[in-house]
Amino acid sequence: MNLRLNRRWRDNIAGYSFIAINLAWVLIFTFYPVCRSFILSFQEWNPIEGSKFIGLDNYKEILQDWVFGIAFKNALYYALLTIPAGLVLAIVLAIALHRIKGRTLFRTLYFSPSICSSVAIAIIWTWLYNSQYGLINDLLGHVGIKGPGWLIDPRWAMPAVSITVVWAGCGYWMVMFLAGLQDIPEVYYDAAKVDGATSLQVFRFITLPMLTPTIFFYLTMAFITVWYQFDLVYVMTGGGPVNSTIMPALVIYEAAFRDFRMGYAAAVAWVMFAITFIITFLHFKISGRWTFYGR
Amino acid sequence: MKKRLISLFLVFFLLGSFSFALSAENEKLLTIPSWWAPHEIKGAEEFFDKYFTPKTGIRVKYEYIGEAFHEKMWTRIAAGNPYDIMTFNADTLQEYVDKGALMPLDDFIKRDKYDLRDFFPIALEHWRGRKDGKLYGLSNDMGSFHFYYNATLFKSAGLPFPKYPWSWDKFLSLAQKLTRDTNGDGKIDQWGYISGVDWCRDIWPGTNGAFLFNKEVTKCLLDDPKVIKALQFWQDLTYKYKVAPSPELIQLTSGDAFLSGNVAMMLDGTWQVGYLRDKGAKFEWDVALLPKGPDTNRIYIPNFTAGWVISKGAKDPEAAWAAMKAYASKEFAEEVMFRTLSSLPTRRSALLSKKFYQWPERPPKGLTGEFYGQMIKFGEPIHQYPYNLGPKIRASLSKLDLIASNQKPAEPVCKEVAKEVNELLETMPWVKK
Repeated sequence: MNLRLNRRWRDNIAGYSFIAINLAWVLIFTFYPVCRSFILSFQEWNPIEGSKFIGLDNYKEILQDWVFGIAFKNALYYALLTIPAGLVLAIVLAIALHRIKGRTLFRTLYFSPSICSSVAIAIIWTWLYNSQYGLINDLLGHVGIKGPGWLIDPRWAMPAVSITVVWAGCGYWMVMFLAGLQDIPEVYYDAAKVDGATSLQVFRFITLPMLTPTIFFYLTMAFITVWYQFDLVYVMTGGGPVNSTIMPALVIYEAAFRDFRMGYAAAVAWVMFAITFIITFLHFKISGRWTFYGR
Repeated sequence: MKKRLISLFLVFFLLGSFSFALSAENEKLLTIPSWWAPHEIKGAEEFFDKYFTPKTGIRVKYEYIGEAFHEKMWTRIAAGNPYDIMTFNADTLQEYVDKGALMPLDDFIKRDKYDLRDFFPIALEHWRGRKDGKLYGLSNDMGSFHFYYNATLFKSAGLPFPKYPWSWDKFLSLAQKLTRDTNGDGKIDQWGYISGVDWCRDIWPGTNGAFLFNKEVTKCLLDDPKVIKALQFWQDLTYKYKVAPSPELIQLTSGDAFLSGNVAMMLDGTWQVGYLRDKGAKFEWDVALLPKGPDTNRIYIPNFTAGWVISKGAKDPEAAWAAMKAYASKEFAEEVMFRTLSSLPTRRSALLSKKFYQWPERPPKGLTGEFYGQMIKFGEPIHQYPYNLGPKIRASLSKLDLIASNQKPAEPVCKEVAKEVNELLETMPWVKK
């Protein structure tokens, strides 16, 4: 008995030793800040005067904060623009590049924006969107269309940012869907061929259902990341024009680092976490009805 | 023999390292956070290395901070590790003073009998706490805004140079005559006017004798007809008269646009003089004071100052004070500010110094003592907001983008924003009784 316990202890110690450094890292740089921010969300904090407990006042203020309300609506609009478009584009690209000649080169080209700096992407696209000298309006002009003031018109700023986001992310998701496509057993396609199915029927009854796990993963990540869009918006529009691109992450940033209301910023962050958690939880709950894992 | 040589080398190496470490330890290091350009930082560090460090043993090193400057300052303060000295524009001073982040200088000034009489009153006024009247900073960097014009383009077009007193109408007439499609492709490639200045929203109303807020920032004056007229004129420059490119080109620094030689007039800060000299414009250029709007007779010259302050939590306030006196000196103005930053002097003795005009053979000819004297004499603080207005007022003011982007005319926007902002101002701590 003692020998067995000693052995178990030795195994445990060995295991914990291997993960000790990473565990310490997570505890110090993730767990502690998360707990600290939760406590901070119930405080009013000033860099000089320190903190003061104020209960739920920060959370009550969020409910009355129309700037946060605008940011929340913008986030929903942004989700509506980017999630379906990103999904369709990624699937189309994955199918297009699944078996064509030169697919390695094309995959590399489409994937490369995913590894570029988001700030560099934002700066380049800001120039592309320039209403007088940008390439996009110049090309539109050649086909007789007068392009809008993409980043200075509040009606077009969010669509402009969304186009950039979809473009930047499509390569990454294309690779994910490619992996999903490659995971579909050939036998299904062979059977469909034998049965005389059209390409559209093959896509609808075989490819799409078999891709649902990947689609589920895409939607889960998309629902989470949509609330944390910051860098492209910050560089391209700064939340303008006329608050049309202000997003929850920007509200947190400005509250924390411009207004130095760390407690309020922490409260907004926890509200965003709660929203994300609820959406993801519901998504997981209903996923069983439409996600097909069978072979 | 070989072993002895190696041992001797090691001994000397160790001795040398030790003495270097000792000397480094004996020399105090003061780090100055700054957004200055590399050539400006180089000039400043050379000054301190030459004149200050040998006398005091204090080494001054600048640390470039490009973006999110104040966020970095506050983060260091919050961490209990503030910079001993901070540099910023005077418009942000009150926020730091109100939060108790700065050390007043009055005790140092009294102890050392530091003479403030040489400073222009406007340079000191910016650095006093609004509640306690104490002096929190010293400045050797006064900036202002004026017009730069491409004299070559004016000469080619046979037009007179802009010269104060000139009106909006005169300015517009010149801008229209100098806005052209030079290559016949249907696109304008020579613009009459550009401004890369975010403060255009304040400057154009200022030229018409009006401001966006009252001095105490307790009332928003956007619904003043003079302000509305100025902002409408600002919008019309781009969209009605088409003498200015769209606001997005502000992302390209206006200095670079002006340097391209395709812009006839540029409204920008005094710092562009140094930049244009440094880059060597391939055309003749000169300067002019701002034009006057139709509703005023007074000259408008918006000034602002940048300076140094000492943090309340400074580790070595004496070293900081010593360095600050060197920074605020006439010699620093002569050796650094005039050479690299083309700032306006904050001291009378510096304005009278011959070194202030030490490039008579370099453009622009218009930068005379009389020109600078007018800028200092008639300068008034640009109405940058001395308080952090908060997210709601900022969000409301961002509706002025509708004017900049030609979505709506100025009048309905200004009236709506003025009403909203005035309601919000009543909730602000400096307004609430």
